[in-house]
Amino acid sequence: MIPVLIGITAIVFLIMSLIPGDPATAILGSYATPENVANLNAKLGLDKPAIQRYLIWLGNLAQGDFGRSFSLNRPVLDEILERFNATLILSGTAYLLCSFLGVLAGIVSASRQYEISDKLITFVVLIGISIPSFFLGMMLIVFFTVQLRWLPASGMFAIYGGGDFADLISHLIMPALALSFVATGVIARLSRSTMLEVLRLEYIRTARAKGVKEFRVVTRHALRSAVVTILPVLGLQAGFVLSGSVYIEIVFQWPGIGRMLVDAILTRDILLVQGGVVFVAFCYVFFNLAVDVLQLWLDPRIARK
Amino acid sequence: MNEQILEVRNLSKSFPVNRGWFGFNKRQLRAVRAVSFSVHKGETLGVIGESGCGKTTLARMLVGLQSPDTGEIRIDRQHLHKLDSVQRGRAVQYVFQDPISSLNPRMTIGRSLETPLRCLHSLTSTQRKAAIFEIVDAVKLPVDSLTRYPHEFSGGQAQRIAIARALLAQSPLIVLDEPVSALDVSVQAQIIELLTEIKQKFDLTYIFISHDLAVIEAVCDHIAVMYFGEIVEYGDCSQILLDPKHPYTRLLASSAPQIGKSLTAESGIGQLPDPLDPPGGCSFAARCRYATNECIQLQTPRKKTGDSNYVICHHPIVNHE
Amino acid sequence: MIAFVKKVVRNRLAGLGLVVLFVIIVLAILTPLLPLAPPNAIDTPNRFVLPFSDNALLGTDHLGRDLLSRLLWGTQLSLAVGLAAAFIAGFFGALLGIVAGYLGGRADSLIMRSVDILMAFPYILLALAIVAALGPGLMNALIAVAVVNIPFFARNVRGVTVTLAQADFIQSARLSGRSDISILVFELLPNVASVIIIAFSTTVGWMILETAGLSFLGLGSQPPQADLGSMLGEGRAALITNPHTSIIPGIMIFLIVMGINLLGDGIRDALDPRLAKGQLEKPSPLTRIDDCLIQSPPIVSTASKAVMDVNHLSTNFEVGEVVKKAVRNVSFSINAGECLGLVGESGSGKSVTALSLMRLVASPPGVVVSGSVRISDQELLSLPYEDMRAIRGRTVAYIFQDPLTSLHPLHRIGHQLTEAMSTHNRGADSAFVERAKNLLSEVRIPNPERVMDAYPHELSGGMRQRIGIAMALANDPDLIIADEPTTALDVTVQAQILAILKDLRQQRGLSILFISHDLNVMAQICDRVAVMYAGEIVEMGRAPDILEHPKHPYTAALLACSPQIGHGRQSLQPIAGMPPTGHEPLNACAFANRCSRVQPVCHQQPVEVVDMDSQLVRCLFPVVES
Repeated sequence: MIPVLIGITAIVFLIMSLIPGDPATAILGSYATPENVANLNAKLGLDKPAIQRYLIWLGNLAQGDFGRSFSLNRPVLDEILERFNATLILSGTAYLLCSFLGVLAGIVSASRQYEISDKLITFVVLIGISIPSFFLGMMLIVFFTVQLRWLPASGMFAIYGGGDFADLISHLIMPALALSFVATGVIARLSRSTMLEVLRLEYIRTARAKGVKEFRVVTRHALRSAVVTILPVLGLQAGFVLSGSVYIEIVFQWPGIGRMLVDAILTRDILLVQGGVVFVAFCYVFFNLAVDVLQLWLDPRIARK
Repeated sequence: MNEQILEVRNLSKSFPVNRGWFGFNKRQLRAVRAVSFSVHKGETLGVIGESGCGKTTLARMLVGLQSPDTGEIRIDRQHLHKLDSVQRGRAVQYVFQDPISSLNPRMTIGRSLETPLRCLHSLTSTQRKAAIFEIVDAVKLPVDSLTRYPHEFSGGQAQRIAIARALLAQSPLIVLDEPVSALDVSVQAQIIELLTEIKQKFDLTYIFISHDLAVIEAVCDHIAVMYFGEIVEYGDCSQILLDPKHPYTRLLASSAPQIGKSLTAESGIGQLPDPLDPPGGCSFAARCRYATNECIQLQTPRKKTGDSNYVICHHPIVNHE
Repeated sequence: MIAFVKKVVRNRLAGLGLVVLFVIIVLAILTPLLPLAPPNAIDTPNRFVLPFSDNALLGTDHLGRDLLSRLLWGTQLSLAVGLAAAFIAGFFGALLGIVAGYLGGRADSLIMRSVDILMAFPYILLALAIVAALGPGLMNALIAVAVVNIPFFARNVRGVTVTLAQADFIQSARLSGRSDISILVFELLPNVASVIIIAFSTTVGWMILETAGLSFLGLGSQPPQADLGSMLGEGRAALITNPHTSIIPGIMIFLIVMGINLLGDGIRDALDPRLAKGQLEKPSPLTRIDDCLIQSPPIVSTASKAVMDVNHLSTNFEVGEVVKKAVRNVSFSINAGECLGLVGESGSGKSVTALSLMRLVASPPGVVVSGSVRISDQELLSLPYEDMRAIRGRTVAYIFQDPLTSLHPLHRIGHQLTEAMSTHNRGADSAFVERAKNLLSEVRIPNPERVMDAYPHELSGGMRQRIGIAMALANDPDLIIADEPTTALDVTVQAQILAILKDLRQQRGLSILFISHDLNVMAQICDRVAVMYAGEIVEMGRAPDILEHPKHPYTAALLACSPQIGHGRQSLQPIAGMPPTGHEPLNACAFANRCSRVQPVCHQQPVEVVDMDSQLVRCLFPVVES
């Protein structure tokens, strides 16, 4: 856990130090005099050796100091927290949606193998895993905003007179759908094949030999075991949803952390990129830790190993 | 008596077990505990024991697939651990319980059989062919087997292939780890017959590991009874089975169902002690009806019960009840 | 290779994917040769021309550039970059995985810890960070996507390698004198290859998506050069007014990725050993009954005092066109309080017979094709599901072979026991719990309270099988079907379990159908024995008669080849040939090929059962003791 967190910061620092040229020039522009650059470098501590800079940065991080974004001229952490809130609403909604729908679709599909509902689900799932989420988002805009004029195409709230919950929901529907569609497909496929595998196991036969009702065999016996297999993948899917949110935030101009990162890369605001990446990666690590704990609770066999 | 081919002295092996959170409390699972025995040329030593008694770990150490923590193994007076892999392969071979899994699924039988000839004996292609044809004939495999893949064979056929490969290594000593346990009775008999045949033909020495007393009795000269990582009784096969001295040996013999004889074995729960927390005294004491206080407290002595026979027990069974 | 393609295309959707992909790839390769407008030629007056216009088949974009031309050039670029990224990721990932998995120890933990850390990033963050460092550009996007996917390959391949490195055949190769390098190259790699190919084929589509995504964000290909992603990105500005500039590249990405995914599924199905016999099928709750049997059920005399009557039961396994006759024309009955043994080698059909009785044979592929199974005048083979379910576990209960796999690993013992009761009875939970504890004491489990709260993996094999027995007793059934209940156990534990079953028979007057491959075990517990061979009962009668005076040559041979304790060194008399495979001839004696008493006539006609001193024998030349 701790080594992973430190590893993350090390990798981010390593990648960032690959950047050619020095940040001071980037900040001051190409007309800066050498003295100015040297002064700024000293001020930012960039004249020190890399390992020392890393340790200083790490120490600052530990104190919650992510540095200052030069492009926005405000503390990195403030910007991140504000943006992360928006990302969390979008990704969280999409994640809950895809976990629930994906597992449900998988169960229905497996327990009605080769029936019409299975075929339909398999077809939709195939589209889901093949379509780029940003393309899907754009098509949703064309359809629901341009053609039907039902839903707003951009932002988190209406610029004039918005701000209430209903407004948020109407802005959230399309991006959340577009974002969750791919992950739903992945989870549904996995759930289906896991259920089919579990349903062939001997203890399912035992349950049937006991006379347990088929509905209960599927839900209590098979699903119970399938969840243990599906859960770690659900944990990984959180990463995919977070990743997908970068595209979706661009398409729907959602004021989240993904858009912030892309902008920061294009303006070469290194501290902002560095801070944003580390922050989101940490959140993801903690989320997966929670998943691991849940897994431990769900599967008594792990505790013994 | 022939000369000794294998000598094992004081062999022990433990496995680290992680228990508890974050891998603290590292503990040792003692799989084999101070095992000593020797085998003479041309004999068959049976090693019998139930699951978890350490017989497979012992077998793997004998062929160098696992290295012992303490103790030494000598084959033809040479230390096993000083041999390189080629010398070792020429000295001793191993036959696995599950023959199909011991053959590479993506290699034809012919190529699998060639391996020991090429790697252990550096034979030319013509020599290899001749050797393979000879052995394939000896184990009664059809010649067209050579171009086929393992999954096309039944368990019995695959075990013939595995035996053929061991023979091609031309080692005088073969460790057979439950070679017939996975097979049907009718096929089991075929393989046992084959093993007896090639033993004479190629002048081999066997270490035959099994959980089945009847099979051991049918093929072995000497027997070592293992319980909880130790050899608790050793000696001449027919003598021991006729008149077991260790209570565990007797339990094993009386537990085996036989036609025309109804079982009189204990029906209570007999379980191995916790291998992570072994008892101080005799490990069988908790199940033994002859157990006394000294069995639980004192280290168990080794008592000679015949020419080469011995038993590790405080109270060996004196007369055959 | 051709066989492999055939296997892949057996999945028709995979065939479709292959065709779609083939067409797109051919177009991409031929792009430079096709008579297309230059992709970057700006023609502002003709911007946003709609598709299907005279000069531009797919219209033009915001700078008046020909979309068809840009699409094909972009496809070429996207495919090349995506595939390149996939190859790089696959190569390095697999290399790291194999090295880590095979070497183990320090190298393994070092590599895997690094992989863990890389996987702790949501993938795009890492990709963004790399692009941020290297600067936007198609090559850099390629590197980013490749690096991000290396951990995935490494972890997958390492997992398989670790398992394989422990496999028996690797150990055998080592004993055959192979060096580490040669094991790695000749033994391990061919077996890991299929996993690498599966991982590759299922992720290459994903990687094409990712590179397109980075271009879409403006971090990949830079203008004027365009891949599909940046075309989509440029189209987005005019999404509302001219959606065709987005839809066209979007659909192309979709087609490529879908084609790859379909094909990938086909490849996975063809290579995955678990799917060797076709797709995973869900077994239905009841074994399928053949239509003929439903339409014309057999007429069976109803006067019987037996607990269960089985007449002319036949069960097949049908996989595609291949039909394997697992159970053929089996008839027997079990009387109250009686223990009937069903003995035979693997493939003799004894377990399938046992499962057919309660219609528990997995279906597909199992089908009951003929016969009748009756319990007190009720025909089980024609019962609807709900009625069948009411009998399972209440009138007839099962004990299975391996108690570790047949108990639910995630349910507590107590729950599994009480569930068996609550399924068929109404009542208070506390009453069920009390009854469950009594049952546990009855099967001689010390400390039932503690065991109720345990999970199966916390108990030893012998204890687990006691649970299996207790569960079978839960509803006080009339008949227990015990399918090899002691085979997975050690001999001393087997003796304990047999003793328990014997006592229960006496106390409860249970009827048992006891299935085993071991004649010695049969002798301990059975009143009557039926010997099965190739799906047929070849001999049936009182246990002592059969075991001590066998009349069928197979029974006799089986007895002669099983070693007996107390007989010293003995030469066994093996039965030649191989155990039944399910493809024995139907119009001859199934054992004829292995029989020592065989006559020509044995091969020529089906053999009927004859009654010899109340011993039923299916043989023309039975063994007669002098």
